[in-house]
Amino acid sequence: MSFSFANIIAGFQQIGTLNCVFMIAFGTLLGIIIGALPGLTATTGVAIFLPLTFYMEPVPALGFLVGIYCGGMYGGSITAILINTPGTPAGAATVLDGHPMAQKGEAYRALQMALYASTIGGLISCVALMFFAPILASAALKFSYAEYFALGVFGLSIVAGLSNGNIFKGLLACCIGLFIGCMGMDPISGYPRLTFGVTSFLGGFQLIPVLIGIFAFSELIKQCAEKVRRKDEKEEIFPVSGKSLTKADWKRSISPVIKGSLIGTFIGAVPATGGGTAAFLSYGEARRASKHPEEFGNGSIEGIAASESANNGATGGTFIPMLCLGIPGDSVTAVLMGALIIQGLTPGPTLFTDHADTVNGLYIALLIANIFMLIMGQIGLRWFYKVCLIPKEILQPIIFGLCLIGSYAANSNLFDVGTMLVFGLLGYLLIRAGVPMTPILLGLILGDITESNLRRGLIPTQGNFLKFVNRPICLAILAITIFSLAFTIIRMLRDRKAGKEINEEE
Amino acid sequence: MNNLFQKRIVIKKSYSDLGLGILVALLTLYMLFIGNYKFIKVGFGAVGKVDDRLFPTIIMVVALVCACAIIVLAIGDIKRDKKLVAAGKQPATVEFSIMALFLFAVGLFFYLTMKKIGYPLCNFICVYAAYYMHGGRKIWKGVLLAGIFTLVCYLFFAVYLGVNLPLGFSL
Repeated sequence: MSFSFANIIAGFQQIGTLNCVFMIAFGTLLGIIIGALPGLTATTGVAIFLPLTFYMEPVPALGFLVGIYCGGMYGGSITAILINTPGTPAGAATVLDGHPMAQKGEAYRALQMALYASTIGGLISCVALMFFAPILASAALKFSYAEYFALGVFGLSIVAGLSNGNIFKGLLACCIGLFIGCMGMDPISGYPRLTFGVTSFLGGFQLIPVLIGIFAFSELIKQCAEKVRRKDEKEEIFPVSGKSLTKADWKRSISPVIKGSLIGTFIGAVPATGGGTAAFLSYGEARRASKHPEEFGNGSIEGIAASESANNGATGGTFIPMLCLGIPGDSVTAVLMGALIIQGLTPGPTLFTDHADTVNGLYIALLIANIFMLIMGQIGLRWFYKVCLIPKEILQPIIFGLCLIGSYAANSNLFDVGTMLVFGLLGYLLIRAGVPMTPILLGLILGDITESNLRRGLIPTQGNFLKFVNRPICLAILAITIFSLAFTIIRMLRDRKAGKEINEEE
Repeated sequence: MNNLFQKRIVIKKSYSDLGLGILVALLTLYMLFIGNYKFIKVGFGAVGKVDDRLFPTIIMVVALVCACAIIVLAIGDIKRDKKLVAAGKQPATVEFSIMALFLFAVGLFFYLTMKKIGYPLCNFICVYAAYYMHGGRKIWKGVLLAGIFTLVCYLFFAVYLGVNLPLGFSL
């Protein structure tokens, strides 16, 4: 199992239908529009449109969602440049230089660089995915239940560690997800568990309504509440004007673009990081290496090149741990992982042996999505920003309607609508209380794998956990988990103490 | 009505954390000592402690530890907030919008009535209600939005994808 040109040809064969190409193009267009809408992230976009893929074949379905992901990452830069508000969190670094350029009347140049850097970043990361994913997957094939258990715990702890400020809230979110995952049938004995006497709970919660609830409906409620607060605030949109990119711009930007793409791919491959972190790291590196560091923050074309190439570079990278190990690279891939599961595919190394064609198709879908992004971005460069002008009172009822029908359509079951509503409200309350959402989904997805492998390992040894620790890879993964958790807790406590001291000094 | 939608509950972040911690701690204690035995039956193939209750128990223990940590940190924050207030500064707050409950109620209406009055009418009402709650006041615009959206959704999901969307009124 390694990279070969036969894989690429097989991938093209998977994609080579008009329906599939159309779905990727449509997904990319939707993604750019969603990304350009402030407040709607690629994650929300994928969650909202996931129900449309139930009745599709796996490759067009995944191509459509991958298109939304890639388009969404680029689309975030449009509003970042023109209205000083990143459409997605990954576009936050682009604001630093993109908006000052728009203020100087160079919005067209900034948008062009954002588009080209995003495309190059996306393509480089896609190639990296094609090369490295099979290698990692073939190594992971040697893993047994102990390593899978350790990986499950590692994935959960890493995601929990990224919760803003308070790791305990992140861990709590993981526990909520794991607990929800426990409801239904026991994975080993098949006995009903934690159903509280409710017949509808026997099958456990379906992934789709939970996903739509916590990522789309809760976000909708949040936006709704924000709108009330910002009723009187009006956003200033700068016109798409100015000259095109010059050769000098390219000469200055090519190095940040390449570096940004590689940083994005690498950071994306680290579980639970994603495009936002990559963009800021790449931006910092570009400023350090630049001959004109003073221009950064005041409208530097290199700044846009670095941040945009990195956030789109992360798209391919985030797929590596998700496809090979079953641990998502960021929140979007967590949702995409749900899409894979719905299609009957289990993320992990066996995906490369049992469904190699689908994996090859996914590579090519990612590649084509980036090319469509370039074409559509180029055509719509001057008018994509107009989606920001769509009134919220039109857009949000549509999203609300899509949440309702989307959660119902999967099983034609109203219980799923109720699930979506409850999780949406719960999600909103938890977001407000500072509890992150991604670990809940991760807990729900990884819970089954983690529990099954833990019990399979413990049953033959009569509950002796030492058998896990005796396996070197498992021990190493568990040690890294404990180290990263301890490090995050110490850092959190230190930051809190420092914050306290600053407050006291003030 | 507008004022009602704009209502929000503002509480100090430290109190919100404390409430969250206490709530989770109580729930986990209940599950650990009562719920796990009441709602989980041990199936065949259990070996010693390795049974259906093992994993939920681990989750509850971790959740309890987290809840206790959140409570401890929240108590520290409450003390810090008092110092901030004494120094004339504003401590961090958390806002909960009442709008969330209204939107939930509209969804609940969909959940309760969709089978009886049918998807088209039910969806129309819900989308219009959401339009109104988001500040839309032009009736024709809301009717047009809800009508077109319902029609498109019905055609796509029921006609194209074959999803069973009831028409209601025993049709």
